Amino acid sequence: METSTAHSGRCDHCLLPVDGQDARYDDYPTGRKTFCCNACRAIYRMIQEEGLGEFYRKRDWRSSGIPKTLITAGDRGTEPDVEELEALATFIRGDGLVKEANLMIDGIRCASCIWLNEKVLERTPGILSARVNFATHRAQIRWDSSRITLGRILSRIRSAGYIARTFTPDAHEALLKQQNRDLLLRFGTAAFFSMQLMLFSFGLYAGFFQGIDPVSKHWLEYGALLVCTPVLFYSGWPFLKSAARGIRNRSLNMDVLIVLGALSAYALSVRQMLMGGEVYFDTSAMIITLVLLGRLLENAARHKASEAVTRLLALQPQEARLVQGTDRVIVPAARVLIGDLIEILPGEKVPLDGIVRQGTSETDGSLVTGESMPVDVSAGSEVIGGSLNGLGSLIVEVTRIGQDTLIAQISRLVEQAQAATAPIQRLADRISAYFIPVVLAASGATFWYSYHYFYVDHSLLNAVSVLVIACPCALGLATPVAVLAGTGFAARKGILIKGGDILERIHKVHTVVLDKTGTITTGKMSVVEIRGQGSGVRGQGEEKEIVQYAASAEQGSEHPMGSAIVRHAEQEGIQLYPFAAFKATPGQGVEAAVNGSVVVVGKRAYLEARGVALDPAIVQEAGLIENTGKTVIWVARGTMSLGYLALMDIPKEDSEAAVGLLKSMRIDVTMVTGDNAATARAIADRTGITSVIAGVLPREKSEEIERLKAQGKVVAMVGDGINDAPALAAADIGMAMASGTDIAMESADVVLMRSDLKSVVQAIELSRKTFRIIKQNLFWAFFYNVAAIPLAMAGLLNPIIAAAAMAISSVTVVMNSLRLR
Amino acid sequence: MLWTIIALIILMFFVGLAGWFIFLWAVKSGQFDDIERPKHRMMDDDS
Repeated sequence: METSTAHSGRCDHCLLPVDGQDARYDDYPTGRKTFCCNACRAIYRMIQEEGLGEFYRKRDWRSSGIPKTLITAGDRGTEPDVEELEALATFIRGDGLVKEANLMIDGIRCASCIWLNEKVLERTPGILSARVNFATHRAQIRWDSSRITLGRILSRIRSAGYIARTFTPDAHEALLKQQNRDLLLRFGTAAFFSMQLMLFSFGLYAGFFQGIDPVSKHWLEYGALLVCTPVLFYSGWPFLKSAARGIRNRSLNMDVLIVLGALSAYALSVRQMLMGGEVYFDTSAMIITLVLLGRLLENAARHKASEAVTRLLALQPQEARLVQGTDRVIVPAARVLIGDLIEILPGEKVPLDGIVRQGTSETDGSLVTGESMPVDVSAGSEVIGGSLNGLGSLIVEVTRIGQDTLIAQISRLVEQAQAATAPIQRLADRISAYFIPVVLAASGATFWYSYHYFYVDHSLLNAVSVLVIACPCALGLATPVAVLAGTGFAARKGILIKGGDILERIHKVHTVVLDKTGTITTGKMSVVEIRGQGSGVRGQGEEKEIVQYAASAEQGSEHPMGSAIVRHAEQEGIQLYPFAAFKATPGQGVEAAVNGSVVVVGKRAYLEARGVALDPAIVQEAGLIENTGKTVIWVARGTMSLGYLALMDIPKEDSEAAVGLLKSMRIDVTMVTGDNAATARAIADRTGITSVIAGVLPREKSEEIERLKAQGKVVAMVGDGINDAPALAAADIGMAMASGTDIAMESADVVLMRSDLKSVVQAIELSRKTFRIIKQNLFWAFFYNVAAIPLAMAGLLNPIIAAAAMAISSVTVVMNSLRLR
Repeated sequence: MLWTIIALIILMFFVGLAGWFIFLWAVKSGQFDDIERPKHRMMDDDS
C-alpha cells in the first residue's frame, strides 16, 4: 500500500514522478504535499475537504497516474456549458423530479476508487443514491432534478479525479441480463421445490424399507406431485422447448435425453400413484435441477472473465463539439455529418475520423492503431476517431461517420471473425446422439421381451423404467463443474478464460503464433551494449562514464530511448549529475549541460551536425550492430565523442523457456511481426523460434492466421496491440496480454494477466488436463445409470436405486473435478 | 399422530414457499446484479 509521504519525488495524488519546474505545492496539517499539476492538486484538496483522506491509505494502485485526459483537461473550467446539458438529456431516464442515468467511470483501479466515487456522490446534495458496479465500473445514479443537474454530477466526479461518460446500455446487453435473471429464477425455483420434494421423498424411502400405511403414503405422494410439477413445467420449460426443437430437427442432443428421462419418470410416477406402486418424482425434479445448476455454473465461469473486459470497449466519445461560425455546440456524435467541422480541445478524445483543417497538436492513437508513439498533426493530417488529442486544439473536418469510422470497421472485423468460428459441438450432445437410440432400443427390447411373459401393462412399466434410470443426472454437471474448477484455477494463475467452450478448445492447439513486440519482448527498449571510444585505456570506468553522462543528459527526456538509458543507469547504481539547459530535437537527440560541459546524445547525424568527430572504425562497427536489429545512440561531451550505446527491445526473461516448453509439447511456434526482418531474426534467434514472418501489415496478420487454419491446424494467436485484434479474433484461440490494448483484450478468448509467455504454456496444460477430466466425468455420469439398466429391464428397479445412482454419479463428478485444483 | 405430521408437512411447505417468494423478490429487485461490491462495502467505514 502506498503512503502519501513515501515518494518524495512523486505527486501525492497520482504518484507520477514530479518534474521540478512544474511542481505545485500545498501545505496541509500533515505536511507539505507535492503535485504534478493543478488537476491533482485540486483533487487532493477536494478529497481532504470532504474528509475522505482515508482514500490515500486504502488505495492499492499497481501503477501510478490518473486518466491522461484529466491531466490535460484539469486546468480548464470544469463547469459544463448549457449546450452540453442538452446533449446529455438523451441519457437521462425517469419522469417527475427523480431522474436516473447510467455513467461509465474512467480511472477506477481498485475497490477504494469505487468507495471514493460513491462517497463523493452520496454527499452531494440532491443525489439520492449512487451505486458503482464493481466489475463494469458503471455507476447508476438517481437524483432530484430540482436540486442538481447531470452536468453538475459529471463535474463532481471529475473533481474527484475520475472521468464520467454517459452511455446507454445496448440492446444485446439488456437481453443478456434478462437471460441471466431468467436462468437464476428458474434455478432458484427448481432448487426450492426440489428441497421440498426431498422431504416427501425421504418419507417415502423410509416407507419403502419399514413399511408405511397406504393413507400416509398417498398423502406424501400427492405432496411430491404438487412440488414436482412446477420444477418440470416451469424450471424445465427451456429444456422441453429445446428438446421439441431437437426432435423436429432430428438432432438428438443432451436436452432430448434429459427431457426423455424427466418426462418418463414423471409420467410413470403419476401412473404408479393412481394404480399403486413406487413413485420417481425425485428423479424427475433432480435431473432438471442439476442441469440448471450446471448452466448456472457455466455462466458464472464465462461472466467472471468477460465482464471485466467488456467495459473497456467504449473507445469512441459519444459527443462532439460542432463548429458553427464562431459558436461551438455540443451534439451527440451520431448527429455529425460528413464535411462538418468539429473542434477538439487539448486532452479530449477525437470523436470521429477526419482531416485537420486548423491547429497543430500531437495525437496518441495507441488505443486504435497500436502505435505507441504520439503522431504530430497539423493542417492536412488525418486523425482517427478514438485517439487522444495532445496539447493543442484542433479544428477537424469530418470525413467518416458512423459505421465507416476506423474503430467501427475494426470492431466489425472482430465481430465477423468471432461469428465465423463455428460453435463447438458439445461433447455431451455428441454422446447423447449415440446414447438415446441405444436407450430406446433397450427400452423397446424390454417391452418386447416382457410382453411374452407378463401383461401389457407390466411390460410397459418395465420399458418406461429403463428410460427413467438411463437418464444420467450428472450429465448436466459433468462439463460445467470441470470447466468451473478449471477456469477458477486458471484465474488464480492470472489466466482469464472467457467460457468453457474455449477452455475445451485450447487443448487441441497445435500452432501458436506469437506477436513480437510486447508479447515475446518487453516492448520497452533496454541498453544491451556499451562501446567506449578509447581502446580500453580506462576499461570498465569508461563504460560507466558513457552511461553516466548519457543518462544525466537524458533525465529530462520523455523519449523511450532516453528513459531506457536512465533506467539502465539506475539499475547499475550509477550516480547522475544534475542537468540544465536541456534541449530535445524530436527524432534526433538531446543536449544538456552536465558537469560543466555540453553533453550531446543522439543519432550520428545529430552529433556530426554539432561538430563531433566520430572514429570511422567505430562507426563501421556500429553499422554492423544496427544490422542485427539494434538501435545505436551516440554520446559526446563537448565535441569529444565518448562512444555509443546500443539499445534493443529485448525478449522477456521467460520467453525462451516458454518457447522451449511449447516445442516439447509438440506445438509449432511461429513469430509474426510488423518489424523488419533483421530485428525479427535477432529476437527469434534469442528465443529459439525457427519460423518467422516479418514485415506484415495488421490486416495481413489475420490473413496469415487464416492461411494456417486452411492447412487444418488449430491456431492460437498471442498478441497485445489493436493491430493484433483481427488476428486474435480470426484465430481459433486468441490470447491477449492484459498489459496490451483494450480492444485486443475484447477480441481475445483468453486474457493473460501476467504478461509472460509461461502463462500460454500453463493455459494449454490446464486445458489438456481439464479436457481429460471432462471425459472422465462424462464416463462416470453415465456409468452408474448404465449399470442399473439391467435391473430396470428385469423389472427390479425401485426409487432407492434410482436415487442412489443419481447421488453417487453427481458426487463422483464433482469430486473428480475438484482434482483440478 | 398422523394428522400432526401432515399438519407439520403443510406448515413446512408454506415456510418453504415464503423462502421462495423472498428469493423471487431478491432476483427481481436486483440483489444478484453485482455480487462483488457488497463484500468490499463491508470494509468501508461509514462516516
